Amino acid sequence: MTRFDPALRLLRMVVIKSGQIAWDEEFHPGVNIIRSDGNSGGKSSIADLIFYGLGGDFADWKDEAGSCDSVYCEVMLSGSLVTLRRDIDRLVRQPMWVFFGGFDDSQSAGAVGWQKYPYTRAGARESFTQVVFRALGMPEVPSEAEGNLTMHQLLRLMYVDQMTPVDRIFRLESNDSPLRRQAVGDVMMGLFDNRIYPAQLRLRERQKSYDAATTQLAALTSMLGRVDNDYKPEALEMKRLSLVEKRRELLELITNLKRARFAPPAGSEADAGLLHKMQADLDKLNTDIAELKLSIGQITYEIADAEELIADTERTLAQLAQADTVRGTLGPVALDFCPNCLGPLKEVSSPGTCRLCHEPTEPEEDRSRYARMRNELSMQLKESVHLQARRKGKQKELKDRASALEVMRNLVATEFLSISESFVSEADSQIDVLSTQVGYIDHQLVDIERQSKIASEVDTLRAHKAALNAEISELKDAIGTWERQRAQRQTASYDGVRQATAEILSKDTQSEAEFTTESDVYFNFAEDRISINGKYGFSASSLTVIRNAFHLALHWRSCVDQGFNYPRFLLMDNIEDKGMVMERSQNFQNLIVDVSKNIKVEHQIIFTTSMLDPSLDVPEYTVGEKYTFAKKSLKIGRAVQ
Amino acid sequence: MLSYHAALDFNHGIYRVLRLLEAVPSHSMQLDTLRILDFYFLFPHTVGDVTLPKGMTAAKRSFAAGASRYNKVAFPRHLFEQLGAMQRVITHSLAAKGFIEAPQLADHCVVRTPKPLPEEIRTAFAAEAAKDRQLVQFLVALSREPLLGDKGLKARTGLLEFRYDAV
Repeated sequence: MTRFDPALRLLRMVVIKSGQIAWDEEFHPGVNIIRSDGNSGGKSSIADLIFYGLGGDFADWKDEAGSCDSVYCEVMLSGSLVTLRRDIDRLVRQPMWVFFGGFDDSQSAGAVGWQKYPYTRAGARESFTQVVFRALGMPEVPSEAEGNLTMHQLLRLMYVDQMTPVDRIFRLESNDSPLRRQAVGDVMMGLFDNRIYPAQLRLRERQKSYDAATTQLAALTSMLGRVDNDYKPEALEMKRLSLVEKRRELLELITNLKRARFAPPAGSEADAGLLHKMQADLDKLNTDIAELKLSIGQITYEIADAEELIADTERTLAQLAQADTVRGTLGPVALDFCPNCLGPLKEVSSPGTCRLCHEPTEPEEDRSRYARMRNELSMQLKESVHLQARRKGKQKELKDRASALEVMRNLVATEFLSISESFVSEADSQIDVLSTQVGYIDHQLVDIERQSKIASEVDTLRAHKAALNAEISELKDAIGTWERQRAQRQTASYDGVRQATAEILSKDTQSEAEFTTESDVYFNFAEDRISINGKYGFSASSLTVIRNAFHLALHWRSCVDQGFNYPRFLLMDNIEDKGMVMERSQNFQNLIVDVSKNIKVEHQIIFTTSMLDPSLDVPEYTVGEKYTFAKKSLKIGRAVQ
Repeated sequence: MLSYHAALDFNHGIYRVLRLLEAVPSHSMQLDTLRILDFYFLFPHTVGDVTLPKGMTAAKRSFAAGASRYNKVAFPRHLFEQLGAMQRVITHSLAAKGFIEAPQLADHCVVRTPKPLPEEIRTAFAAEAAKDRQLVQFLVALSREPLLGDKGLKARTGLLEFRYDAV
């Protein structure tokens, strides 16, 4: 048989207590009936266990069920055989163990192969909802909606339980929100387009960028200070080139004027010759003066150096004289010991011998030696002094010559300047004017540079804005299209469910005569209610029938419309609730079977009843035994914890 | 140019010692002080490297200006040591000739004896150039400074080791 994915089908459920099997039954595709004779047979416990085993959040166990250890559900998740296990606890948000394989395999595998997943996602650790959804092939939802869309929430729409008030669609829970119910309903009916939300975010961001670009563009254009198109880059470039050319021309004029400064004006050739000669004379004079100054410097240095030599020589001479005086009056130095080794010197064997080096001495030799040295030094001194005098003379001569030349040069320079003064000032003033013009052009060029920068920025911004605009339109169109499609789908889907509900209701053996195939069925997930022909007030049993019919219709449509994400699984506990008469209940049971027979794809409907139509009490449909008060569903032994 | 240098001439050394002892009021001084003063007598321009007490800065500058390329001293301390040998001969000679007291000399102190100097020498003292007179006055002032300790002449001139002195 065809299968519309996502598809959920329960194959087998095993309930364990204290290491013993409390319940172990297999389910078949299509209709599954859990029956009891009278009430308190434990049917609701089984239904709760199915709900819990598939991932529902539940802790309000009745004593029997609550005393059990764990429940195993062998399921087909869109064709994948998986075994789920949950441990029974009084605490909510219990984790789930998952084994990818059948129940028997999971038991022989022991601990290997079982993976534990928490109720909610924790960091990198996935929740069991994510794992089961992935196996089912449920569409991805944005993370903002993740908290709303859990296995538990889906099951609220698939499990029609006994404790929820009959006028509700969803299984009751506290802390519920209309938005959440709407989201769950939309997803189940395949109306959730996960392209819309991201696109809306991007649209908002693009619009913000567009506004920012607009502001910036306004600021830049105001900086340019023009309203016309003169700030186009090409126009600016042309302007710049013409300014550069003009600048070059002006500079040329200035250079020419500067060169021509010392040229005589036309019509005074005589003066020209004179000026020329004067210029040559000036140059020669300056050169001569420079050379003289160089020589003067050199001589000055030599003079200073010679002074030092003379001073040193004079000092040495004085010292010689002093030493000679001592020698002459005190006689030779009496050396008793050697100045080198400090050892005592022997007495001379004969006078006239040096006690130190044993050479013959001349007593007068010392004096003659002194005299000779004094002589030499004196001669040197005399020569140095003489040379010094000559140097000083030369220095004076050079200085005199230099001053004379300087005087002459100053005269010539003054005269030269006075003659050329006239055209110097005229040329200078012209150069001034032209220089100012060049300065102004430079300023304009800087300005143009700045403007062209801004102009190119403006162009870039304009292009950017255009691109943004295009994208914004695109996004708006896309979002519009998707939302329209969604609305269309919604109408189609909703209409399908409404008509199916009406059809089922029309077959009810109703006490109210209002249910026809033309009945106007209205349902709203957010409001969590159903109305028929605008009316909400019905008897409790009618409300039960309406509720059951709605869920059956939803299930039926999911098997017709492949776009639904409703997993083609329905669990109804006590379809005859609230004082419904047997005929009505049994009629509805047959309705369920008829609907199931007409469904052409894989599906599963499990319901419990305490007044089963005997014609349906066949193994083809029933699951487990007929439970009674004495023989309850869960085999847990007599002593109940 | 022949090589004559007063530093290597015993006779001039005698002249210098006698001149210093004559100029100093007490006509006596420690041997090491004499050695140091004698060095600066020979090379007055090297006094530029000495840290002198405040009042002597002007004199120091004027002597230091006398440095020229004809009287360079590369290693004063080295030269000072070499002069030491000559110094010893000179002082012993003077003691032998009776101009300084021999026993004090053994105690590293030079003290003039009452024996007068020859006339020629005293004339030579008087005939010295003005610059030399200034130099001698400067050296006399220097002689009044303590010899030992870290502000003593030894420390200031760096010519003798002062760190092991018992002050």
